[in-house]
Amino acid sequence: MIVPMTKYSFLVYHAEYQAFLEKLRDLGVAHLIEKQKEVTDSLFEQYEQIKKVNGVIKFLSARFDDTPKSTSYSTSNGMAIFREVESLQQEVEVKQQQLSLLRKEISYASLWGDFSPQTIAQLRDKRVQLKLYSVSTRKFNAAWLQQYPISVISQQAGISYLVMFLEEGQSHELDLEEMRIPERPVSELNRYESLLAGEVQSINARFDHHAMKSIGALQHYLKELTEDFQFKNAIHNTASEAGGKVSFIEGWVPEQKKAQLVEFLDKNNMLYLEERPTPEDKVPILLKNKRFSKKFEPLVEFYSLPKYGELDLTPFFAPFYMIFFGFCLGDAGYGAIMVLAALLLKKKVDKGLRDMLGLVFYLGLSTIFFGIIGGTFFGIPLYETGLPVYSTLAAQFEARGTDINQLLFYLALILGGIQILFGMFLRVINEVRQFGWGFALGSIGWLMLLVGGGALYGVSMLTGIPMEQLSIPLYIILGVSGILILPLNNLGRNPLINTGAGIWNTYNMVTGLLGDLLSYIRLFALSISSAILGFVFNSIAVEMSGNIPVVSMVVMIIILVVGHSINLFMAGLGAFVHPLRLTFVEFYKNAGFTGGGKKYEPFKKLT
Amino acid sequence: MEPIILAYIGVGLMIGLAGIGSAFGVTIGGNAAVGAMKKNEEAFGNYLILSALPGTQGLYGFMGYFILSGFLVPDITWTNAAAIFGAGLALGTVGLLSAIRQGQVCANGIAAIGSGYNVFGKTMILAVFPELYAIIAFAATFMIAGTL
Repeated sequence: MIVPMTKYSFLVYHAEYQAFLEKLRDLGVAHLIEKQKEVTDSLFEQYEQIKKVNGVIKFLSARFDDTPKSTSYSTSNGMAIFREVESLQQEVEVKQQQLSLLRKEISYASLWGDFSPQTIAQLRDKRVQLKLYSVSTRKFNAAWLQQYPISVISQQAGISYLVMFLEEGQSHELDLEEMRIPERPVSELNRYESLLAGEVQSINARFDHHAMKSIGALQHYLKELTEDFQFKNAIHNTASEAGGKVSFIEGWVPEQKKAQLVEFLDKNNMLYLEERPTPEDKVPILLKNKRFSKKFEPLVEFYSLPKYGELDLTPFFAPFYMIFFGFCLGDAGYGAIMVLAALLLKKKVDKGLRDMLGLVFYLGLSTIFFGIIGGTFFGIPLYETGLPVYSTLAAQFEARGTDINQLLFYLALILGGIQILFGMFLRVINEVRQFGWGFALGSIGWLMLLVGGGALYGVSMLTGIPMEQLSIPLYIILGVSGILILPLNNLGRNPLINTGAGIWNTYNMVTGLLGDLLSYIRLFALSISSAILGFVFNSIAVEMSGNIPVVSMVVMIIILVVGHSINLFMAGLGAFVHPLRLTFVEFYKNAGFTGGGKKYEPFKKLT
Repeated sequence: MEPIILAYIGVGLMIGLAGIGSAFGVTIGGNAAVGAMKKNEEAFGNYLILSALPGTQGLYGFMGYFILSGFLVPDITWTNAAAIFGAGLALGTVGLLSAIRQGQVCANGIAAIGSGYNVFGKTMILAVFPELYAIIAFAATFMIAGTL
């Protein structure tokens, strides 16, 4: 359910405001209402700084696959570490660029081998020019070595690299491509390269050092920055009244924390106003659910938190989601793996993941259940083996001309129908709660029509009474629900407008309901596909492993492990996504869910 | 020509085209997700769900075959073979095109989420509409199987 909230407006003498805000932050229960004001430049800069520190933390955390937890850290030098890492990052980037340019130069200079620039200078003083040329080896004529003062330095990839010494004024008629003289010889360049590479390596070592030791301090610094930002933001959202003498701020406080706040306010003789939320207020949402439903709350955040005032649908979709997940994955073996994993890993992970493991545990249980019903255990079709209960059931199915798959198909549709009807029932409750009975009559009419019609049809099928004999109850149901759907669906409006709206609603319902119901066929499709894939992997493992005594056993096990892991992952993904989509689209739509609520985030201390 | 040939052509179309459609659809979504992650890495859960939505058409194609598999015998009648071919053509083509288009809707939604717009739920609802027709085709296949 959604925790009820109360709005508090605080009026504080401006000189005491800072102290008041600090004490309010220590209490940590008020979700402050933000006025839609422009963000100031300094607030924006601080926000950017927070993003940068976050970026540095992510960069350092990525350096090792499992970052060791810093057990102790000094809380004071987070900022210094951040500055150091930030400047090292810039330095290493510059050095990397220099290194890559240098390496290009080296690969060019290595064509020419080693030389000394002094020799070239000395030659130039004696008016001898040194020129470098390249020519394709095929075109090179060995006679040139006799005719000209030329020498081949190297040959690579079909190109010869030559040096020619010319006195000033001399020229040649050879068709050669002139190349530039490298500024520094290869040996010198290599020395620079190892120097630079060494510097880059020492910077990386510094990064590694910080990655091992300093993440804790950086995270503390991040929390300090965020806390300061939130404090300044709170001041930014404070209105100044009575000529600047009184500071005014409002916040939402959940029901169970009210007493704490009021005690604090009264003890300090603060002036405040207490108000209940109005329908126009955008009240923050805090969900509170029991142990089972609580595990499903993270799923809600994928889509949208409910609006304040409407029903929190988490406890209502939780059992359906569990059933649908189990139905889709439908393999007792995979379910057992999930349950075992959840139980074994519970001790080893920290708090946040522990809730997720709880969810995995429940979903695993459901998977085992549907695996047993559907007759799948690690891809083995249990109804086709000779096992005791299964062979009896299989015989009974065959006697009636059906089989387990047909039954699962109808079960998927039935489950869908139940969820849709339940959703419509919740919509009635939602509308009554928010707008009153007069508004909900239309939905009640639809519910009556569907449930009544379905019940009569069911009675006719089970007892054998033909529908004609049941026509009187049928007409009564049609009549009453028709009146509720068409003219009377909103007691506050003109019946003619109601009828028009009712006809439009009828059109939407008829097309929407059929589509929604059929959508649940995907549960059957997913369930069968995961069972068949498991079966296929088993067949491949047995057939491809051959006949060699020990080796074929090993090969079979490898294929089984790899195949079932792939299947568990793919089928698990489908079983996770599609029931979620059924919840958010079909169920929420039929339950009249509006959503759009903002999460409750109180103003509190982080460090 | 034996009737069984026509029936298997239908099965081939059913599984093949629907599978191709899903492959294209989820790839279109996946490509958009990789691009969106460059801008907003944290919404990966949303990208995952939206990318996976076009995956069901391939499953429907496979299920259709599974339901009809019992009728694929060597001495199949022309009526049955024609029915299977018709079902295969319907489910295959509808699955192909609806999955590709659904993937495009999802990709647009993913790109919008990457740019910071909060459109996950509404995109899911819009993505449902193309899929409805694949579901209807699958239900029709199921009903055809019932008459064989």
